[in-house]
Amino acid sequence: MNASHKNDAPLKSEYLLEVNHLKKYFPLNTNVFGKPASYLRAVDDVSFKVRRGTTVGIVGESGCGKTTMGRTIMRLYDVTSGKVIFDGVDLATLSASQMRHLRPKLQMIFQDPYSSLSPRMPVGEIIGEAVKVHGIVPKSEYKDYILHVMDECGLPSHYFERYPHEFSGGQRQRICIARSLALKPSLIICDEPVSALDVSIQAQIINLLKELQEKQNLTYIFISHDLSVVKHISDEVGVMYLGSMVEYAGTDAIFDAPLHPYTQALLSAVPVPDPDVKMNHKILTGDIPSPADPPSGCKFHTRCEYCTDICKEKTPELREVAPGHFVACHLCDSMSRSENKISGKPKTFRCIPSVRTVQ
Amino acid sequence: MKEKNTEKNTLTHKGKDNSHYISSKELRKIEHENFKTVKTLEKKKRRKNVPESEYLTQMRDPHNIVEFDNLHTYFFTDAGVLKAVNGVSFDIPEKSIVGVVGESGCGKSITSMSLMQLVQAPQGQIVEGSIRFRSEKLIPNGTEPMTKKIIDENGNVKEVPVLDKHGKQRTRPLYKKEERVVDIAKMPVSEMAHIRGREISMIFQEPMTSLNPVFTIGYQLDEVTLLHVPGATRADAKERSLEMLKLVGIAMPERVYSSYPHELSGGMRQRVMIAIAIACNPKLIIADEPTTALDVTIQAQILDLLRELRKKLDSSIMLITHDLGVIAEMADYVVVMYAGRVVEKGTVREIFKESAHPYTIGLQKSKPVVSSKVDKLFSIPGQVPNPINMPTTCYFRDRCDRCIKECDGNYPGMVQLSPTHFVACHLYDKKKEENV
Repeated sequence: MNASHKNDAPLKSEYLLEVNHLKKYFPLNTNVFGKPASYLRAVDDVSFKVRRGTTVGIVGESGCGKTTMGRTIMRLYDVTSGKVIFDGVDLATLSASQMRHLRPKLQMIFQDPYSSLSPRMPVGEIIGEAVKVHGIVPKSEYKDYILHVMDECGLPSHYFERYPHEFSGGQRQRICIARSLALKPSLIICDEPVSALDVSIQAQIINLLKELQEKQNLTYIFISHDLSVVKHISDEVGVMYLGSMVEYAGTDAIFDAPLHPYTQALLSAVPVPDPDVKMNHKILTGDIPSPADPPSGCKFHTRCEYCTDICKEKTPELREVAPGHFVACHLCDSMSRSENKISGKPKTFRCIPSVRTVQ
Repeated sequence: MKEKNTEKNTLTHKGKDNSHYISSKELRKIEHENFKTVKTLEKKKRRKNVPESEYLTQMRDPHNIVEFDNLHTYFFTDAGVLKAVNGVSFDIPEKSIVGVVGESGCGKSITSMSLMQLVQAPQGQIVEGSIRFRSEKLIPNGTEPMTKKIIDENGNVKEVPVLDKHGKQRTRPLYKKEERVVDIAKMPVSEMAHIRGREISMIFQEPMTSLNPVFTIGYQLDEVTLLHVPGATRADAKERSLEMLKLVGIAMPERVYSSYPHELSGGMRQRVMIAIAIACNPKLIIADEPTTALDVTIQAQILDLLRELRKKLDSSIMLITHDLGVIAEMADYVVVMYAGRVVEKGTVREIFKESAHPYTIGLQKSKPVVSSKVDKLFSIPGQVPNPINMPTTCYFRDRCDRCIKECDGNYPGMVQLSPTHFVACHLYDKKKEENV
């Protein structure tokens, strides 16, 4: 694995991936001239940076655009606007053939291991197809290399000639991981890799992902709706709501002192497997609005209990309120909080350190 | 079952992996035997005029609403008999929430399906055991003249008799309730129709697929009342439906009543499903993974609603889920299932604080928790054994890290640790002897 790094150009920066103002709009319907009349703003101005060898977790409800963002970074969708700088190269401007040469460096693990493996190919071929295409290893070493990768992912060598339908969900997910790992990637986008698995199998896969990261210095973008899994695996966490990043910070900062009201609500909604811990319920009312017609101003204002007039009019920007802690909320700032005081609203919600209390 | 094709591909691999290989001769034998067993069982189920004495029984404890007693539900597949539920016994007390946890394929859903007699027949059959349920039979008890309330010119509310097209007054039949205990496992299908939906109702996992897309929400809600409340008119049904929609926290019941399922979001649909389930004031609500398909924030809303409804309606809830967090928050009693059997049962505190079975402990340790931090998750090695050809030893033996030599023996029996806490594990056999 390390051999490939030696051939590379010297490391350019501490960040492997930089996403700058990434936007992905899907045209919904067209006007008389065939031009799109309205858009679904699946990803709307998202920026973040990923350090080498770390894991960034992306959380949010379904429909908030986290999967679309992952796919746009991979260039499985074309970028509407913004930059995706991977190892010094802007992926958004590359042509299809240039992108193809770069693909082995960016790999993806999909959510559903039942539908992401071809039922007509044996495991060895599934893992090895891309290795052959990209010429990762010489032909003579091909089989040994595949067996080595399989061994690393905990797959016995006699699985080489078996077909995916013979395996359980956990084993299939291991095959998916082996498939992406065989290309010696530096960035793996994991799109809900454990959501379709049982709890005991989930733990096996999470441990495997962590082990591989330590061994091969991989970088992960871990997309999930399960906050407890994200907390366990990530170094930094981004919370998304309706296509925008509402909070981005280190894992401990997000989970110990969430600043955005949405993050707070999301955290307090997670049930804890302990009958003695009673939740301080902070239940959000209503549903997530449609991304085709998002609310004006702050997108969260329709469900926010601290909503003020400014929230309805002005879109908050993602600002750094503490070192490495970014929040997109008007009320998180001392200045706007004093404004709040004048308008007679409750003064502050800042830092609710423990969302839970023990009886 | 796809098992046949599976075996063709594994032909080349001799040895351990090949132990489930079935020759065509064996296959024919299995098919023949399955046909025979299923036919006799189906014939018994489809009989007409079954005498009541056959399915009337007595409760072991009158405070229970349902008692599962040594229930066996098998699926007769071409690869052999799949013992989906293999001797399950537990009780659901009145006005309590019983949580059933386990991994997928452990038989928790089939247990609830057996209770509703909804197991996929003819291959799925309850072959042994009983499910005792405290039911209320409706017995005709005279009639009552029908009236309706109208407002006259002066603004006074007046009751006017309802007339039919011949000018005669319409009447509505009256019923009285008679309590009796029935064994659902032996009950004929026609009798079961009176219990389903009226006394036991079910909330399914997928709110997206369990509502009919071609009918309005109102139609589907009215149907419940019209079917199960004798003598109910359309107007009564609508009134009841709107009341239910309000009860489950839908802000604009009139609008939802006349809309189609696709116009609603996932959380709203699940609320409608709950409204349908509670429309007849059932004594028992089976919630089969009610929040698995929903987001965390919506999940919190739905769980809150279920808790509130339990207080308002005084009914019991059987909550089936694989999420230990949901169980800890909701349930009073917990049943842990593994490979078709109950491995541990007790109150929620006993299961989470004094868990005894290695599987329960492993399950808790393998789930990452938001409020605490560990470096490496504990993972239970291996997988659930093949449900066909189960070993005679403890099913968890190969994955267990606390095996002792007794584990090579027969499947462990239930050991009582406290009045409410039971565990099926050889590690606690000594305690059993002490108690005796």
